[in-house]
Amino acid sequence: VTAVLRWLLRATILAAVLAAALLAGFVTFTALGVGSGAAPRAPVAGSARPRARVFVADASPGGRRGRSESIGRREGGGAGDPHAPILGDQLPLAPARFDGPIARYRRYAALQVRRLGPEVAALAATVRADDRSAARAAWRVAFARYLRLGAVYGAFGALDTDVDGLPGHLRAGAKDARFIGLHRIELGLWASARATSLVPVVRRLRHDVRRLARAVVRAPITPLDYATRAHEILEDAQRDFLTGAHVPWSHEGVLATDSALAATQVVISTLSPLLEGQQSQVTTQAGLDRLRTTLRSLREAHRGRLPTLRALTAREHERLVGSMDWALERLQTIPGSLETRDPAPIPKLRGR
Amino acid sequence: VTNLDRRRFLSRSALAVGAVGVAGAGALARDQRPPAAGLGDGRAGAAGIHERVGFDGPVQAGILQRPQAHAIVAALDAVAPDASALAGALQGLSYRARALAGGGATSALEPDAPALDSGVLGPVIAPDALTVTIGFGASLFDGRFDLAARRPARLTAMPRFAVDDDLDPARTHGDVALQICGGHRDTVTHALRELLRVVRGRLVLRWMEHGFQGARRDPSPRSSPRNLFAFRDGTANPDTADQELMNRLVWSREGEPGWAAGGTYQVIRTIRMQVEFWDRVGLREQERIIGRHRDSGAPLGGSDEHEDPRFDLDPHGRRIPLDAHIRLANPRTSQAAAQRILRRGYNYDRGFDGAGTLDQGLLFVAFNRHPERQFATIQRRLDREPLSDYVRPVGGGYFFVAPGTGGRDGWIGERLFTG
Repeated sequence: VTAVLRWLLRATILAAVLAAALLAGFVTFTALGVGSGAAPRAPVAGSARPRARVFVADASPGGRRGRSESIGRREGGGAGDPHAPILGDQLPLAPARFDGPIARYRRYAALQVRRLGPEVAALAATVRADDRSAARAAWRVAFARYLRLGAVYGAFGALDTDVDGLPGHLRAGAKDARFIGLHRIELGLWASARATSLVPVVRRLRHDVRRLARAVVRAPITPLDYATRAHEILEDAQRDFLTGAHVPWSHEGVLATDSALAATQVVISTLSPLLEGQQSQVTTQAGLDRLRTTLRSLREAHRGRLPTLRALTAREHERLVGSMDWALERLQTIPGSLETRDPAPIPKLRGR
Repeated sequence: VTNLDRRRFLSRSALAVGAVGVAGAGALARDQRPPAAGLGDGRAGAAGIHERVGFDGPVQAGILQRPQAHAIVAALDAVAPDASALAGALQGLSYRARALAGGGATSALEPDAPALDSGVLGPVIAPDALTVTIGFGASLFDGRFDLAARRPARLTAMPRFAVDDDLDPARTHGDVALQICGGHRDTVTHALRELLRVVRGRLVLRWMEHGFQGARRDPSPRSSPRNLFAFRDGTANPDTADQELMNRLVWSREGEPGWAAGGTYQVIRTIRMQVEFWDRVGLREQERIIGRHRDSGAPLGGSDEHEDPRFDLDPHGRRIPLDAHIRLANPRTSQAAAQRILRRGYNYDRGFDGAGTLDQGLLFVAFNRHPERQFATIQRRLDREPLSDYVRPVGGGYFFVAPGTGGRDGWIGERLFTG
């Protein structure tokens, strides 16, 4: 009976969060003057088949129009059951159920690192040739690749700093000799010096990428890490990439966001057996899809290349910011959908 | 002298007005009333906007008073050509601050000349519990003004902590810090503007932040206001009325050069909070990160904000996780008791960033006797706390807050040049 009550409580909280997200969506789109029709019905707590309806923007080139459709049909892209309960009744999940998803992610990450090797070699060649514009293009490829590791780089520890560290923690900042890796190369290619001066830094990066190949198969990833990364990759992208803070010289925050989305999508996809039958699978996928659609339209509008943050028009920037907000609001239900244990009640404080 | 007596003394000495301010008869009458319960509060004081906190005294104002509703913290760099020009600027700063804190009529000396006061607060300035607290950064004691030998014993530039990857040099350190607090935003805005007039050409702005307190929304006056993560902040602050405690934790005498004895060290940290991210975190998780119940402010498992969290009864962190913020910040051991600091922080709200997320956070201000043994020791314990995922220090600095003027003829820093 206690377990049922706990489940009901959690379902109620999740329902409230979902309802808020749906309402926010409705308000957003009606405020844009694109929505019409009946108000969305909030999912009912504990109801086995909540039929949530939501207004979504159609981002097709024809223009934005509001449409009221079942979120499963419109946003799930066939990936989930629109009539699923808010939380699965299999919660809490056995930790062993994460083994498969984590193993699949590890294989994906290992593949990314294998591809990164030749990409960094190509960067080395352009730097040796002192071809700044080719070197920038090669850097973009390597940088975007590394960020696709999203869910594991926290497990690399110091190696992550060697490859992707910013100079903030160093005594002499960007001038510090210990500042190495992708961002040191970014600084060199966008802000100063001849490309050939970067030859030793790129050589060191090639070495570190080889270390990465060994680390990626060993990196410890717990179910909690993995469930957390499912939403934190994009939280980090909002804070670090969309603000431009972690792309200080190249301003390639859109490209970095695209990689973060790719990594998130892989995590969510590998977790689909665990999310099966839960509302968050549907809503999360819808959030990721909208962000992907926005990025795709930006790429098209900028001749097939994701623009720098500075090249975005004000309108494009707002659309990107809004899509990121939307995806993050929807990812917030993920941790609750992946609980591996029922939290213990807080003991009472006695002894006053 | 009890704290109350000291406050009364400060109030009386507020009668001293500077070159510009002239106290009206009304102000005089108000000043002779016994201090209201909320004196120095700037919100609950019976005197309201007419409340006056004197500028002069053995210690500077703006430290022991309960925080007023609004604050500006501004760091300035000295560009004065020599030490006497710098001294002139500091003297002017104190005279002007004393006049503003005293309130009263502004005078237009000569209609064709620019007015001595901008007039933003009208022809008669209500004191509004204004305090101006003046501090000096370590950089002031470099070679430029020949002050190296007079550096306060424990004054260093704020060290870089493990969480400080995102410190912005343009929002960090400085030669002189002004902490301006008052009951309303226009009061502090006006004060900064007027103070900058008198230091022009000698001190220039390096960075500034505006802070505000959460309004008192609880029936109990003992309830601490909330920060922008919605948790009560300042619950475990030491009692400022306990002078012996203040001597142990706040005022620095031992080992200080003569001019500095009886001052205190101010730690300022501008801490960005990722409020959107925080709002997407479950309440239970938030409470475990902090170690308190959000609504009541009570330690987890308890029911009263001011209840002792009794970590001794919870050695394995079953009630309050071992890495909860309150547990790391103040483990309530005898060692930790000696490390306590007097916090006087404010919330800040400064627009939004390129990702469309709100630029809000905590303007952390704390006073302590020994920054390395107190603040820095606490901060190092917090290095790997789970809360650090949601906050990012972006600026701040260490400053030495000189002792008070002692009387209306003195000025803050005077003995730095003459003593």
